[in-house]
Amino acid sequence: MEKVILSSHAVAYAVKLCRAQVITAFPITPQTAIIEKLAEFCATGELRARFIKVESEHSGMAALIGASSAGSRTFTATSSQGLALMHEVLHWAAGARLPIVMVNGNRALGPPWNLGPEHTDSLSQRDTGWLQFYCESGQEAIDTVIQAYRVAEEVLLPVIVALDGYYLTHTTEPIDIPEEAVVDEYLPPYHPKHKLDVADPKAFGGFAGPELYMEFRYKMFQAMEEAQRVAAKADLDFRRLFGRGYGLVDPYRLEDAELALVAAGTLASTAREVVDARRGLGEKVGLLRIRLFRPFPRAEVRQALARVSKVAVIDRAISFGHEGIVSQELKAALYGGEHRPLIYGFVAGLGGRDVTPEDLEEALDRAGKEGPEEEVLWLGIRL
Amino acid sequence: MARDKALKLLNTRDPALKGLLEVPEEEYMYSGHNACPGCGAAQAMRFVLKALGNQTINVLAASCWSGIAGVFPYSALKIPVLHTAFETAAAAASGVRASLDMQGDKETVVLAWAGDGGTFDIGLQALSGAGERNEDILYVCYDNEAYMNTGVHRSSATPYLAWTATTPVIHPQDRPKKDILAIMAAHRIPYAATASVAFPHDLIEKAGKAKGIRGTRFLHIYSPCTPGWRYSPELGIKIARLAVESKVFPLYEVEGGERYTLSYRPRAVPVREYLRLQGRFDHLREEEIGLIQEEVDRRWERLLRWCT
Amino acid sequence: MVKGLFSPGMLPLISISSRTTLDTPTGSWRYMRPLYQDRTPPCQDGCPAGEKVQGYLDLAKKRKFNEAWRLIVEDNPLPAVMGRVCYHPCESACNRKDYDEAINIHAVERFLGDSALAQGLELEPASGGERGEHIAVVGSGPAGLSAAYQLARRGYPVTVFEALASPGGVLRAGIPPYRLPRPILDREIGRLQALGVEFRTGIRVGVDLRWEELQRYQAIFLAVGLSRTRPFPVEGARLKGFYSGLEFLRDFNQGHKVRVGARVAVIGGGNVAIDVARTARRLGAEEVSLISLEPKGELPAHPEELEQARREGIRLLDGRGVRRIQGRNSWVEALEVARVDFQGRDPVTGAVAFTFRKGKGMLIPVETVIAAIGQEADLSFLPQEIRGGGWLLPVDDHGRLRDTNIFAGGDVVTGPARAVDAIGAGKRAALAIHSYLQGVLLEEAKLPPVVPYERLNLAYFIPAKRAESRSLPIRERLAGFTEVESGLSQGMVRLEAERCMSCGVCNGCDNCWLFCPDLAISRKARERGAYVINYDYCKGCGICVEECPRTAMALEEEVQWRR
Repeated sequence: MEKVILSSHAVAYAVKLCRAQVITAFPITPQTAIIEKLAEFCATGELRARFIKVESEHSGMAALIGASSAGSRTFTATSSQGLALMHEVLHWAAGARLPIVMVNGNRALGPPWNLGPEHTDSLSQRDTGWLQFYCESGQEAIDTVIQAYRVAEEVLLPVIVALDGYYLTHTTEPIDIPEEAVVDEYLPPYHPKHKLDVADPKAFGGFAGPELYMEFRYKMFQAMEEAQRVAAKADLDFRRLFGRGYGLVDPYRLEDAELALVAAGTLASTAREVVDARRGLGEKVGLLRIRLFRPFPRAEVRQALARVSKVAVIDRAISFGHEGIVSQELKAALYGGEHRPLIYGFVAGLGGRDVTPEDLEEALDRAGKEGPEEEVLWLGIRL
Repeated sequence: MARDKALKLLNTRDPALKGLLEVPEEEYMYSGHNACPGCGAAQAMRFVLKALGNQTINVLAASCWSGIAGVFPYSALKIPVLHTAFETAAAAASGVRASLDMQGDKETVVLAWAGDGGTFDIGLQALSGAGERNEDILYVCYDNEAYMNTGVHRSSATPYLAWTATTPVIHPQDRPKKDILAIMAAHRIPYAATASVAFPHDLIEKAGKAKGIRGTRFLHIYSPCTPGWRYSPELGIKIARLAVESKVFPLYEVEGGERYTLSYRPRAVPVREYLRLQGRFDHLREEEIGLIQEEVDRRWERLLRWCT
Repeated sequence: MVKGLFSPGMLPLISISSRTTLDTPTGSWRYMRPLYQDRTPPCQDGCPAGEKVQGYLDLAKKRKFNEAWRLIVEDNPLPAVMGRVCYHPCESACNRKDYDEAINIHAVERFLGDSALAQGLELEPASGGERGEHIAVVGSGPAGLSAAYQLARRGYPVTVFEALASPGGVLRAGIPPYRLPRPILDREIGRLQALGVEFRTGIRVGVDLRWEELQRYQAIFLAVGLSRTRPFPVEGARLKGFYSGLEFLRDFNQGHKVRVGARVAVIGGGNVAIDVARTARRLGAEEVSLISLEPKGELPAHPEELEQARREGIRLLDGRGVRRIQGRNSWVEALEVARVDFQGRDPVTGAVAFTFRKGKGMLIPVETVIAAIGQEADLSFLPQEIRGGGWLLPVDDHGRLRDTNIFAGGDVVTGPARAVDAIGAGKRAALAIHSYLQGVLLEEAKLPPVVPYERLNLAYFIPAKRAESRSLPIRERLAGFTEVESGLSQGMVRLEAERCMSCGVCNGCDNCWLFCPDLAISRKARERGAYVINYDYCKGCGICVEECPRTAMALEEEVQWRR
């Protein structure tokens, strides 16, 4: 059923279709529309779930740790400071191997206070053990949330589905809301092998010293590796049932491209326009959109960029002291491969600054000419 | 009269009160746990679980109990345990509760268990949130008056003028202990009470009472710590008893945030008797003991006013 | 250790613990070891008969009245009698007196004795079978009865010789029936007969039976008490209306006609004097004065007896001596009484030292004077070489007269003492005789140290009033010789037994079990001996020992450290 709705509401529909049982939320812009809609669903009974209006994001995630450990499908949404506040328990949720799904409305961290979209909030949770998907559209958002549960519950790791604040959370588009019965077919009910159960009392998460801790971490590592295959399969299965799929990475006109833009989230839409424009001028330019950031789909990325000679990565994030985060990841992924294009890392659009086609044009131009690839290239800086 | 009842509670042989006094036979804890010899926290858990029974899930925040509960693959409890981060006992318990509710299980008791640091300090926000939402959980704070697991560091439950590793004797704890029960009462939760391991019948009775109440229930259990308070391990119960008898730690209940009831009228032992058994107060001068006595008396009078 | 637990691939996804800490014994942490170790309760220590008071209070608490009685009669065959007449040193020793009031032990004993009588419970022989050696017991007072019983239950044939017409000695001839109703005495003595003790009454050894005739017995126990009144060394003691206390009581108690005037003076400050005074009141005397050399507070009489006498209207003239008895027409007419300085009393002979103060005495008009100033042993029936030259019989530590088969005990050995001392003496004599006859030295088990009040953990006791039996109203008392004390009801006895602090003896209070932080103490029942310490897990914190209310546990070093 197609509806013209906010992407945030699309997320709420996805959560409803997935029959999440425990939801927690603390208000933070720009994810609020998601939880408002969910609150409404829970209040009307359209969704049979307990909605805990927690006093902080930290408690929100902690509560989901409890609920998930007790065997429920869980959901929360947050942004920016809220996600940062959760940091400790993000580790805990992953370490406890709990298939929690969380939507993050990407937003810059203060100070200065800022509400605009930026990926630093979720990208800086890279090492917590969560899977991370970055969406480009409302349709992708609803579909990815559904896929996220499927993947999370198979590999027993939590998933962040990231939506650019405002650009995505607050935009309205016609969205096909999947049929409930088909979602049920796609996503069976959650029945964990181990849960808190008075009939089978076990202690979860007790102390493990150096003689065992590392083995548990190795199991997480293995699960994350496995997650690539599972995510790909989940996407394929989704495509089979719903006629749509996204891949782990999303290549655009890369077949014969010499220069590729790489971006995540809504920036990719602008990039696509620029690619088309340059193609119109006869330049062999393409785009690679990173959809799955964790685990990082090394093989898919290498394959997609196998023929390009130059890459311009546009990061809506910065790791101070080094460079854009996607840029680093990309370099690391390609370094081990046989084909090593020149990679230019651009930082753009921080704090919600608009990244215009002109900015991307500039990036393409500079990627062609400018010097060492180690240099961090800033777009649109006015000093 | 609360006093008579409580006095009789002490006499475990009084047949007239047998029904009231019978300590449940069943244990929900195993020997071999990792508590120090004479640990009050271990006693507190044992007593509480005796009242709650095996249809209980324990959400265990970082504390001494994280270690006491056993190193993987061992568990010291016969009930399910969820180890969780320091400040999350109340929040994680809220989530467990929500999940059980969604599974149609309204009976299982969700027991949030934390120390004084996890309650008075780092976990206070989550606890406040749970209490304000009136989550259907039983929150137990076993209070040993400092961060003991880390090596005896002061918390906001550390009493005035006490020594800890972060409040050395040249500058001991300079603020009075936080009144956590007043804080919880201010949330208007249905039930909040203090209890002491030295008064197990009262403690078990309160835990049992709490079990029968829906909504957020809070038990503040006084739990002596041998290494942290610097006393010989056999004296733990004696010290806990003196804490009550000297009015340092009165036993009372607050229902609905308003109805205060004294559980036991102390024998009014001077605080000196209580302090002198503990190395953490060894440095006190006579006038400082006087200050503590004054403060204890003032707070006692205030409590009595609330109780009427 | 942990590593070996998991074969490859068996490690769970996260640290899910499904084994228990029972697999990790913590007993190795321990350097102090708690253990159960009974001490002696002060009541038992204070009882000359060695009654296991705590033991029978504990049984009474649990309504096991018959078992409680059986425990008493191991040491004392006369609970109903002694529960009435004993001045209960156990209660003076009772730690509870320092807390609130001593346990009313004698009332419990009396109840148990009466209850056994009511049910017709019989004394039972101890295991060991019958023996051939025949033993003679001379005297049927408490020492004689006690020895006879202890020997009879060990299987010896015993014959008791009593000079008076009925057995009981001082219990019958001395103690007035308002303190000890005769049916009680008769029935408890009857029970000894049922056990096989032979009583030959009305036989004065040395008069009715030659001393030599006793030689056919393999052992002889002399328990003749102090049967002779000490002469009253004051002018006027031969006047009509003057009596000696012992004779007065003996006559009255044997049913002889005894008369007193309206005004009676009793001279003496001991328990016999009070028995006399209270008896005189019941015989119709309107004014009874008790004249004692000792100032108030130093009287040898038991304070309870003094108090009862006071309530019955007996006037105490303490710190006074009798200068003379004034007569008229050979009848007593008045006493001259004067203040004295009392200087002391010889505990064995009873001789007193005092001086009259200067000044005129006071003249008290009386019709009857009864002097109860002490008794002495009448040893005239014994050959000189046996009785020696003293007031009392010289015996060794085992109560044996040197190099003979003759043993002695009770007042005839100790001088004036309490009935319970005699019960204990009889018990010990029986053991000595048994040892002698068997040719092995048998001694009473050494008792562990006594628990003083300071060693109790008082937190576990709550103040509770001592149960007191009701006393007969004065008017009814004086109308006859009805028993004054009514005793305690079963319910009161149970409550009173509940008050027992069970000093030094585990009574199943559960504290050790309850407070163990390591769940290392298990219990099969809430009673002594039912608690077991599991040393695999006990960390030796010592809380069980510290919180034992009664010092029935000890903490010992696990390792004796080398210096």
